[in-house]
Amino acid sequence: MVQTRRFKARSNPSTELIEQKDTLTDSDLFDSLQQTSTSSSHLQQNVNKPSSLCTLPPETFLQICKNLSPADLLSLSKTCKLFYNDLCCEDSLTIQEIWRQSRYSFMPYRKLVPPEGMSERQYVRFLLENKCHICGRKSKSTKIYWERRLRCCAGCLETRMIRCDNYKIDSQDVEPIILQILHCRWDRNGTRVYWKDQITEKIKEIESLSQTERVEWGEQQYKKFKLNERELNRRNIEDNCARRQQRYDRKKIIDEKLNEMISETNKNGSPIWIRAYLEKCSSLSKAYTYNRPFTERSWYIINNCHYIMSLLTFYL
Amino acid sequence: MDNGTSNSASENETITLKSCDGIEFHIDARIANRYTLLNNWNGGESACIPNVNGKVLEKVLEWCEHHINDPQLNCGDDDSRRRNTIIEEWDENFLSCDQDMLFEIILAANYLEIKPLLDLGCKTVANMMKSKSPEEIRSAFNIDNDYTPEEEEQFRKENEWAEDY
Repeated sequence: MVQTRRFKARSNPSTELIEQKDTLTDSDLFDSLQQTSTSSSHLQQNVNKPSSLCTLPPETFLQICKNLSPADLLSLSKTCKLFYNDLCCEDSLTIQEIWRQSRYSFMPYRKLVPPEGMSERQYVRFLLENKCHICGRKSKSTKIYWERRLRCCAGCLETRMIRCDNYKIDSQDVEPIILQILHCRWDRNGTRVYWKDQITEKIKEIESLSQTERVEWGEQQYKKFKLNERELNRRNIEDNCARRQQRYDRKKIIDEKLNEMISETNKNGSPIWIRAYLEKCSSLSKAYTYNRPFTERSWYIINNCHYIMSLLTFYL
Repeated sequence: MDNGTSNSASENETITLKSCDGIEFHIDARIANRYTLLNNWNGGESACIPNVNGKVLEKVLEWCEHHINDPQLNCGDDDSRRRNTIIEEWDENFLSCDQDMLFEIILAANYLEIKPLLDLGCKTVANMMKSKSPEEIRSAFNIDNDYTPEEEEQFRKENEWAEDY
């Protein structure tokens, strides 16, 4: 059908810019009128039509998308090919703008632009999806490592990192300069750990160089590293702030729900739930520690635990 | 009627609109004045509005009537509108009709350029998708899943930015 090309056709870079500036030119208006008329007549004729949502004219569809959070946009883009083509069109400025605005309004703690080479959609996906990029498992403990643009779980991280004691890796000496131009982390004992593959790559690079070349190479690499480091710091700071904000938002919603629960009373007017008991519930205290948005579904899960818990305390 | 007189229309002045299936509506001239496109049809004795059928037009006009005293919003204020996802109770009840009707109203609002109603409709649809999984959205809107199982599998594995691994 016609729809697969909806935004591909619009994303012609030369016309795109103009479209961005004044979205409602006369010809656009005319187009939209025409499209509306065709699709509404289509609605009337076709009895078992696929879905009203799929037959909406593109600009109305985009209107709806403007009200969606990044997570909802991601879900919507995964429903069918039509919406995938619409929302994942990386070279359409209109689409990019929708993702960007959605990020600004629903994730106000994420103000930095996406890293180079990442589209807005890829960026929010990177931020939101908690899947480990190495083992592919979903886990709440995955973290973002900006220096590699990677999100992975603690287990996978362990296998990719290598410890470095006194300029020695695997009890072999390493050129000090290599350790200065690579991003390092610290493990629990305060030892420096590096990304294994980065270390081996740099060792290979430096091996073929003469002593004087090494100095020059080192300087160049160091400059690059410093430049990169500044960007990394900014991203890491934003990560920390975001985590705090997300946790705060989450706590607020959970507390609201709890208060609602506590104010519930039975027929005799006495409260059904006792706060002290609820607070002892491990699922609740655990719920506070996550960063992800607190949804109705998460509440449902916790709520069931509460119920069992309260039964237990009642009989004990 | 020329524009000069229609702008100063008094309260009990009415105009007649006709839906595409021939149902006539007598509406307050102030409603027509508010929305450019409705006003454009306010020419002949009974102006026919193509593409909008009687049932939908009735709903749209009902909404217009209820909101006749709302302050005019300045257009293009996209940002503030987006953040405000709360929908008034009356509007919520008004739009809690079946989905086909809801989309027809959105299309009509788009067609008639009734921006606040269009926004409202879009917001309602967006709220229906809120924090739902792709599967739930599909069933909520009766969307056919046109992905093959293999494609879906690939979708799940997709790690576009972790090329090194």
